[in-house]
Amino acid sequence: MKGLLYSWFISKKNYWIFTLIAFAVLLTAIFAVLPHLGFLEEPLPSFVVLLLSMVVMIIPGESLCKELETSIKTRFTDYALAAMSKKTYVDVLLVRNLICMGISAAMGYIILFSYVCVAGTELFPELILLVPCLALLTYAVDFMCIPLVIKMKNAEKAGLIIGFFLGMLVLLFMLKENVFSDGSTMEMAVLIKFDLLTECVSMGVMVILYAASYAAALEIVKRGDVC
Amino acid sequence: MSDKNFAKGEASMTNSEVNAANSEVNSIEIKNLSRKFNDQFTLNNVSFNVPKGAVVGFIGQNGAGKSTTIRAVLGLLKKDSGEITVLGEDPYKMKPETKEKVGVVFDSIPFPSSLNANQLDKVLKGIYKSWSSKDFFFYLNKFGLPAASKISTFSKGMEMRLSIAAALSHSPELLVLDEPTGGLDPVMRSEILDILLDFMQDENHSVLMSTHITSDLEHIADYICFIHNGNIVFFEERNAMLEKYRILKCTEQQLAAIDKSDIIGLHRGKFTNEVLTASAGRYPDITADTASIEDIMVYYVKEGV
Repeated sequence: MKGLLYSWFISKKNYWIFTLIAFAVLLTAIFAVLPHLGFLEEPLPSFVVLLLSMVVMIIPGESLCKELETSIKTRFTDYALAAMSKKTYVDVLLVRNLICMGISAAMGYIILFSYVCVAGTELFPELILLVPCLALLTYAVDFMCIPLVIKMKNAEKAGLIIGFFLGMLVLLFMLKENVFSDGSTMEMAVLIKFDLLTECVSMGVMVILYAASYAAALEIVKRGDVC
Repeated sequence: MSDKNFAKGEASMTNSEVNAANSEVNSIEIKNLSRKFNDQFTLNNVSFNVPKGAVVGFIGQNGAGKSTTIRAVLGLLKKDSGEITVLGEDPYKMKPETKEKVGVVFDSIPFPSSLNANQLDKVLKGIYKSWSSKDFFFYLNKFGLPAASKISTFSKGMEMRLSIAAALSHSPELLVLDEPTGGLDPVMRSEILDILLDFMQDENHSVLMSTHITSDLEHIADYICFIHNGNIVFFEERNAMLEKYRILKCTEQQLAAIDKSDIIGLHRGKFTNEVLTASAGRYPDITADTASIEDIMVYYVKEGV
């Protein structure tokens, strides 16, 4: 397991260093510019900061599925499976995903707390809860793609299928909002009351998705013909 | 040998020890391995063994089923039926400690191309508990491979040498090599074969090696296994095989006198006909040349009757 994680880390090392530098420059620039643009009244600055958090939180896990596809196409996966158990291989994919999720949450918090320090404002409590939830959601979705990437040997197709599925889910929420509205207007926003209970429920759902994706990935790898 | 025999997957096994399914004697045992891919290709009842202390040369045309069989031996392929034992275990359920004892070389380099050999050493150290960096750098030096250059800058030959260096560096007992000398010049091929012979000094070591370069097998192989269209044509002890098969150079009249069942392959030339046979002794009056492994393979496939 260590070997595969090291090979992944080494290949991402330069990318992460570049991302860290770009992130630091972007952060400094935004906080320097915001006061001069007059964006001092909440909630706009928080919204900008939240958006920036979401963007940088995706960066650590960028191309995880694409790398898996490459590993399958170059048969490095076959080489690894010839040397280790199939469960260990799938464990590596999970650990990689969790490492990225941890880095992602840390980066999200750094942005938020940096903003608080610079702007001297209070952070909305919901944002504190939102960061780990977003990280878990982002990387749960990424991990859901893994069994499909292994099965179809194509990261784009796997992403399209999962994206379609999630899009349908969001559409259902939107329809639900409109079914219970008074009918005079069409609600396009999906409203979620964000509190500790919502976070616990959503985390529970994500954990179930992780478990299901892990089981599916292990089953597909055990069947063979991965590469 | 007719197509009917190809289809049945009949093979001649001249060594009774090899024939016996005995994991104390054999490093690899394959019994009735079958896998259907599509209407064009089926791996059909493939059976042969790799005895301990032996080198088995696995030959066949492109697309004959060599790599597919090797992938099944490594537990990477879903099989429809059949049994495989590698070092006494089912490769699909093999313990990690046993997997450490199998060195693998694929026909193309599997390692991430952004790594260099130094980094690859650390990667493989984290994969194999029995990894020896000392051995790895010894082979890198022996093969003239740079440790600090990215694998993406390597030529095909350099890639194969790197793969072989990696396969030898975790104290394997069994080497499974898929076209290991492909892309190598004769000098380097000779060096690789010498290393394989060194590896075979330990009588518990074994090698299963698929290759197109049949001349390499004439130096190193103890057994030759020939696969064609997913069927094993023969599995024979090398020296016995080379003694057994002969190419008869005959005229039309002489050809007419040869029993059809003795003709494995026939090549009609302008002036002379050439017949591959395993029964040359029955025709002492006809000039008989020795047949190389390559000749035997070509006659079976191209000139088969």
